[in-house]
Amino acid sequence: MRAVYRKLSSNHGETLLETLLSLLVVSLACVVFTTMTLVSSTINENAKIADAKLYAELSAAETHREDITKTVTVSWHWQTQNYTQDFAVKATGTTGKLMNYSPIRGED
Amino acid sequence: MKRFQKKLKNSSGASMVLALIFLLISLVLGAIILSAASANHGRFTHLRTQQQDYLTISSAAKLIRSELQGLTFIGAKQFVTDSGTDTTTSEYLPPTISSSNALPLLVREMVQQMLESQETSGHLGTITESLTITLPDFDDVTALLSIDKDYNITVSFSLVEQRSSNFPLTLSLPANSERSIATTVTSYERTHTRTKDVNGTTTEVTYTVTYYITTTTHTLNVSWDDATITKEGS
Repeated sequence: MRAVYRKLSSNHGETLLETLLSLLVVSLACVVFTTMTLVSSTINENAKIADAKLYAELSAAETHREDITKTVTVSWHWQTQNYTQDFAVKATGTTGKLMNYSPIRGED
Repeated sequence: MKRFQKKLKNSSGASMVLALIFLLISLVLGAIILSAASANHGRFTHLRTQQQDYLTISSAAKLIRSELQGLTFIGAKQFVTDSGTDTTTSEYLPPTISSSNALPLLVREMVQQMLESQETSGHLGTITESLTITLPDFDDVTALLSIDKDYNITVSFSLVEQRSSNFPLTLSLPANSERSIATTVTSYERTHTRTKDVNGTTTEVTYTVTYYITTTTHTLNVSWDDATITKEGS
């Protein structure tokens, strides 16, 4: 820091070493900035792919592709007793991806 | 400031400082661009969870709507007055609902409980029951089924596991209720024998009295037809 202050108050010319160091610093700045921009660009590209994939999954989940019949269980406790009711449903989408289900009788 | 302006005009001995300033600016700008891109990418992980939570809850809401929409409940209380014994008795007739599935039967019990508690204790609150909806590969959903004093059904859905991306939905089934009173009268005859003094002679007189049984039935008919699913707060 002191060296920087001294430099700021000095009117003397540059040494070769200073000039080379300055060039090195500028080059380093350029490399770092370019790398960061490239990485950002890659991340954005990945985000774009993820976006397309998400909406494809959402579309599959909502347009009833790859239907699988499953059983939904609704359970409750009423006046000291446990009750359940099973519903056959049509699950859409793919396991591990976005999934949706709707009652088999067809209401939507 | 004056010193800085002087230094700007001075062309000697400052290349190192300028290079460092350039490095600093490059680093700051690069960091801003990088963090913006990272934030954009991170949004998708969150968006996927949010979307699946919404699909899970909305599917559960549609399922319960399909089961409850269109139900019709009939509950009745009967008052029987017998003029022969001069007594009036009352009793609730077994309530009915237009489906034999377990969930509609729960609704039938809840409405009947509300009906009876309104008449006996003037209860005007709500009756609530908690349901759990489970399906493999989906998170469990809690549905809070409430019936208010006007027999309107409200079901609030949310994930059992509370998350920041929870999407509470509400299913509303407004009740169309109708009350009616029907009265039927039946009669029965009873023969009585009494002794009577006729011209100084004790004579047995037989006579027939007609008694009436008045049956009054108070019927409550409730149906739930127009179901709507809304996001909580909307």
